Amino acid sequence: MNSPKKLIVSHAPFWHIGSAVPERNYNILIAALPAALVGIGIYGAPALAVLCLSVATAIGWEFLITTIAKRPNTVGDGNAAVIGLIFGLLLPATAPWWLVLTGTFVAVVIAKQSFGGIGATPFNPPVLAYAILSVAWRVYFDYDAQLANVNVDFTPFYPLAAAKAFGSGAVADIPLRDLLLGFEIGGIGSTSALALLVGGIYLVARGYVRWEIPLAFVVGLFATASLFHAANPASYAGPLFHLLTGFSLIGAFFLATDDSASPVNTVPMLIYGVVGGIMTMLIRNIGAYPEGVVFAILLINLMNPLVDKIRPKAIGKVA
Amino acid sequence: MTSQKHRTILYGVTILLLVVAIVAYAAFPVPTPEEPIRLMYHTNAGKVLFDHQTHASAGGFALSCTDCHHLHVGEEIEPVSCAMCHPPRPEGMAVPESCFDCHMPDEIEDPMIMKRSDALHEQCMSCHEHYGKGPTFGPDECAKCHVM
Ligand code: HEC
Ligand code: HEC
Ligand code: HEC
Ligand code: HEC
Ligand code: HEC
Repeated sequence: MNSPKKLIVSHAPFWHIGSAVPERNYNILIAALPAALVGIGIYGAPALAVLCLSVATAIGWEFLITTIAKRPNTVGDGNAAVIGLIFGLLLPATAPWWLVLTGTFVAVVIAKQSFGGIGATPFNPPVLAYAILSVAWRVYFDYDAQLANVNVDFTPFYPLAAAKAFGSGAVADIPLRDLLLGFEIGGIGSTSALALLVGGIYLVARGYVRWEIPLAFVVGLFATASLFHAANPASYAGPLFHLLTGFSLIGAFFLATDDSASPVNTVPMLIYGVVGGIMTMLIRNIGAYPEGVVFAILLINLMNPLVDKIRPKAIGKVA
Repeated sequence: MTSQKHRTILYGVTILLLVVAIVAYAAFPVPTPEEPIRLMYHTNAGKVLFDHQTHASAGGFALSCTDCHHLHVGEEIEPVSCAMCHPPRPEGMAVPESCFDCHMPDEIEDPMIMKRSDALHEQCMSCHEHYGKGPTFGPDECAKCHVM
C-alpha cells in the first residue's frame, strides 16, 4: 500500500496541527486517562483488568492483522491502543474476558483494518464494535444486570435505564455531584463528567480535536433534552441530567471526533455534531434503547461523506 | 514512521498490560455475594431489578430478613433463595442435597407450592401495600417494576 515511489493522498484527516499521527494518538490516551483512573477508583481491580486487556488485545490484533496481511506494521502509531482504551471505557467493569477479546477484534480487524486501516474507517471502530456486540449480547451491556453483584454506595441503578422506564422522578434524587465525579452505574470510564471534560478540553486546547464537533454535539443534545423536558417534565429528565449521564461526554469528545469518520469543514462539523446530539436524545427518549449515543454516532458517521460535501468553492475555477 | 526502539518499548508495555489483565481477572473476579446485593430477573415481561441490599439494610428500608424469608430462618439455618422451594420454572428445580440433611424427599417436593414468580409478586406487592410505599397490585403498577 505505502509504496515509497508514489505520492499518496490519504483519506481525511486533513487538518494540519503540526504534529504526527502517533503524537495525536498518545495525546488521546493521555486525555482518556483521568476517566480511566476514575473507573478504576470506583470499580477497582475488575475495571483495571478490563482496561488492560482491552488495550493489550487491541494492539495484539493490530499486530496480527498487519503481519498476516503483510501491511506496514502500524502498531507504533498508537491508534490500536486508543481503540482498545476507548472500547474498554465503554464496558461494564465486570465484562468477561472473551467479550473484551471479541470486541477489540471487531474494532481493530473488522471496523478498522478491513476498511483500509487508520484514516480510512467510515465508522469509529470502538463505536461500531460496541454496537455490534451490544446487539448480539445485549445482556452483557446491560449495566444493571452486569453490575448487580457490585456493592456501591451511590444510586444503585443505571440512571438512563431508570429515567426511560420510570420517568424523571426516578432519577430526580441523583445528586449532580455524583454524576460529575462518576459515582454512577455505567461504563468504566464513561461516568465521570468531570474527568471526561478535563480530557476533552485538553484535546481541544492542544488542537487534537476540533472544538466544533463536541460543542455542537453538546448543544444539540442539551437543546433537544430541554425541549422534551419542557414538553413533559414528568416523563423526560432534564437536559443537565442527560448531558452528564451515560455516554454523552465521552461521545462528544472521544467518539464523535474520530478523524476519518467526521467532517473537516466548519459548517459540516457543526451539522454533524448537532445531529449527533439530537439523535442521541431521540433514541434515549423515544427509541428502543436507554442509551442513544452509540447509534447516534454510527448514524452521523454514515452521513459524514454527505455533509462533508458542503464546502467552500475553489476560487478561480468553474465547477 | 515509528522506530524499532519505539516499537520494542510498545511491545513490552503491551505484554505488561496483558499480564496485569490476566492477574487481575484471575485474582479479583467479582464474587457472587452470600447475601444478594441486587437481583436482576429476566422475565418474559421484561426485566425486574430488585434491590435486595436496600430493602434489607438499616440504611435502606430497614426490613428484617424474616419479613421476606418466611421459612427456615432462625438459629439453625441461614435464609436461602426463594427458588429453593418456589420453583422458578414450571418444571421445577433440582433440590440441593443439603436439604436432605433434615428432610425426607416427599416432604419438600410439594407440587402445590406456588411458583417463584407468583410468590414474589404476592410478597413484594402485599408488603408494599402494607407500608403504602413501593409498587403494589394493579394494572398501573406493573411498569414500576418491569422494564420492557
Ligand atoms: C424484601 C424482601 C427481602 C428481605 C428483607 C431480605 N431478603 Fe433475602 N432474598 C429476597 C429475595 C426475593 C431473594 C431472591 C430469591 C430468588 O430469586 O429465588 C432473596 C435471596 C436471598 C438469599 C439467597 C441468595 C442465593 O441466590 O442463594 C440469601 C442468602 C438472602 N436473601 C439473605 C438475606 C438476609 C441475610 C436478609 C436479612 C439481612 C435478607 N435476605 C432480607 C428477599 C428478601
Ligand atoms: C424452605 C422453603 C421455602 C422458602 C425458602 C421460601 N418459601 Fe415461600 N412458602 C413455602 C411454603 C411451604 C409455603 C406454603 C405454606 C406456608 O404458607 O407457609 C410458602 C408460601 C409462600 C407464600 C404464600 C404465603 C401466604 O400467606 O399465602 C408466599 C407469598 C411466599 N411463600 C413467598 C416466598 C418468598 C418471597 C420467598 C423468598 C424470600 C420464599 N417464599 C421462600 C416455602 C418456602
Ligand atoms: C437444618 C435443618 C433443615 C434444613 C437443612 C432444611 N430444612 Fe426445611 N425445614 C426444617 C424444619 C425444622 C422445618 C419446619 C419448621 C419451619 O416451619 O421452619 C422445615 C420446613 C420446610 C418446608 C415446609 C414444609 C411444610 O410442610 O410446611 C419446606 C418446603 C422445606 N423445609 C424445604 C427445604 C428445602 C428446599 C431445603 C434445602 C434448601 C431445606 N428445607 C433444608 C429444617 C431444615
Ligand atoms: C417486607 C416488605 C417488602 C417486601 C417483601 C418488598 N418490598 Fe419493595 N419496598 C418496601 C418498602 C417499605 C419500600 C419503600 C421504601 C421507601 O420508599 O422509603 C419499597 C420500595 C420498593 C421499590 C421502590 C424503590 C424506591 O426507591 O422507591 C421497588 C421498585 C421495590 N420496593 C421492589 C420490590 C420487589 C421487586 C420486591 C419483591 C421481590 C419487593 N420490593 C419486596 C418493602 C418491601
Ligand atoms: C413489586 C414489583 C413487581 C410488580 C409491581 C409487578 N411485577 Fe411482575 N414480576 C416481578 C418479579 C420480581 C418477577 C420475576 C419472578 C421470577 O422470575 O421468578 C416478575 C415476573 C413477572 C412475569 C413472568 C412470570 C413468569 O412466570 O415468568 C410476568 C408475566 C409478570 N411479572 C407480569 C406482571 C404484571 C402483569 C404486573 C402488573 C399487574 C406485574 N408483573 C407487576 C415483580 C413485579
